[in-house]
Amino acid sequence: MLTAGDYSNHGRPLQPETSLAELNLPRVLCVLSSMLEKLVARNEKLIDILSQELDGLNSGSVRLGNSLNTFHGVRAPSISIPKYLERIYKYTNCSPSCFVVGYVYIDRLTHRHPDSLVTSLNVHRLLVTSVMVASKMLDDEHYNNAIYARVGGVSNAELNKLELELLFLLDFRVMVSSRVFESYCFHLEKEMVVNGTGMKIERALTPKAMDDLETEISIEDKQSPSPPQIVE
Amino acid sequence: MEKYEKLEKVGEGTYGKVYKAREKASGSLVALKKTRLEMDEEGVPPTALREVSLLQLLSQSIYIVRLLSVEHVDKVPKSQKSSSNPLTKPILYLVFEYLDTDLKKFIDSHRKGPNPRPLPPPLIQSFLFQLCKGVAHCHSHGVLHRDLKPQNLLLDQHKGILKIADLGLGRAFTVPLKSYTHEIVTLWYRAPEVLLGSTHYSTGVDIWSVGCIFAEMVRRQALFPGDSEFQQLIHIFKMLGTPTEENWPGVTSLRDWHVYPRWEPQSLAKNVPSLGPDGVDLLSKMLKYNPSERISAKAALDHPYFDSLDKSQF
Repeated sequence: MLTAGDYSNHGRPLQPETSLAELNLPRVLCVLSSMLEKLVARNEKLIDILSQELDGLNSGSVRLGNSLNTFHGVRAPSISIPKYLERIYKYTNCSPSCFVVGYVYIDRLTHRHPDSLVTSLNVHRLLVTSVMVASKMLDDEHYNNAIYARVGGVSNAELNKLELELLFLLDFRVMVSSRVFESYCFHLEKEMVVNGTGMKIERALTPKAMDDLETEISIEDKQSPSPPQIVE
Repeated sequence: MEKYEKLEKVGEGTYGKVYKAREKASGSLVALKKTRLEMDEEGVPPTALREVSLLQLLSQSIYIVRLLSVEHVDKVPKSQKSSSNPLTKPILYLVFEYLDTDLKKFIDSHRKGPNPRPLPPPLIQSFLFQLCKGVAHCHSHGVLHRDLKPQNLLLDQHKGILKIADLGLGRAFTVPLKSYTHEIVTLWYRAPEVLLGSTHYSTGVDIWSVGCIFAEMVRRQALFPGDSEFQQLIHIFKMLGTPTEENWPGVTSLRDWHVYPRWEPQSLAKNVPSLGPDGVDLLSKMLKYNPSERISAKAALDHPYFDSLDKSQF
């Protein structure tokens, strides 16, 4: 299995400076990446500050809520959030709406379990799981967990476990009304204005076709057997 | 799951067995819908996921079956019992309020058996009103049921209550999506736009099903009992006439449209002879070819057919 560093686009290595916008991908991926990167940075800074304060008091390490423990890796995957989102979009054929709804789920999680922080150790697993659940809810035709596992760089068994964990953490409240959907779209669009790209995000787009999934990544802590191959 | 005592198997659901059970603490009856999570390539079935999440949203209506809880059990298969590190099989149980019968069984009991008799018109009126209330509730929350049929309408016979169940094919229609599948709804209750391959349909698909169920309560047999998609369309066309661009703009552009024989519409009243003029009028509004002209569930509640109904009880 290839590591995240070997990730390529249509067989051509992606240059580090290639932005999602330049790749003609839905704008929602761009703004979502930006927001999640900021969230992770803010949370990790908070953990650092708390750690330093506790060190000064000689009172052990930071104790955070354990609700998201199942999603934690031992170390952060090397693939960036933008590249990871791009990969999910390209290879799973899910509609852009799924990314908005996936973000709704992550936001609901953080509100239901405020002591559990989204960090670089759990953000990738949270993303692939929440987008997959959103796709099951929204798209009549969608890929199964095995494909999402392979795209996301985890084993099928782990993704199945993560899916159940997410559903129970959300109390199975994974229905998103049009009002909530629109409010999140508006929120994401406001963020785009802040970032200097004042455009509307796509409410519905279908990727042209599923590309051949010729590269594999792993965000697991130990090498696991290659996930199932896609049968053409 | 020790909280429940299984009493008997009462059927097969969309994705597993359904049991009648008793909650030990309260003694109240519940239905346990077992969902096999063969933790394989699929994970949690989308039907189970949609049903649970939609019921979480809709269960506050008394016209939707109530989901009481979701239980997760890790079952150790017999073959693994002796193992020190057994492989467990996860199972989800959806715990529902228990209702003793469904509309299909109820209609059948009036059609055959020792005492065949029509359903009392006030009961048809009451059941249809409750069905429209439930469908209006779904639609107002942006949910299409997509599989309305007598088997999915549970009854409390003693209280005369009807509840919509089995939202496994339900989906939100308010979030922008790719086109819908047309492999939905049991053939007999399937709307013509779905049969003709439309993948962008809306609330009208449920209203068509409600119309078919209404007629079936009156007739005690299905209105359009087709055994294939083609035969289903022929049943509909022979009774309602072959649709045209005049009465259904865009019909000839639908994916599965072919040149069909030109049948003239029959009198709907003759096919539901015991139904009065108001009932026939409501039925005809539910069975309009053009989905955008079909009456909404909310508007149906105000139709003159229900004028003689005591609505204060609902």
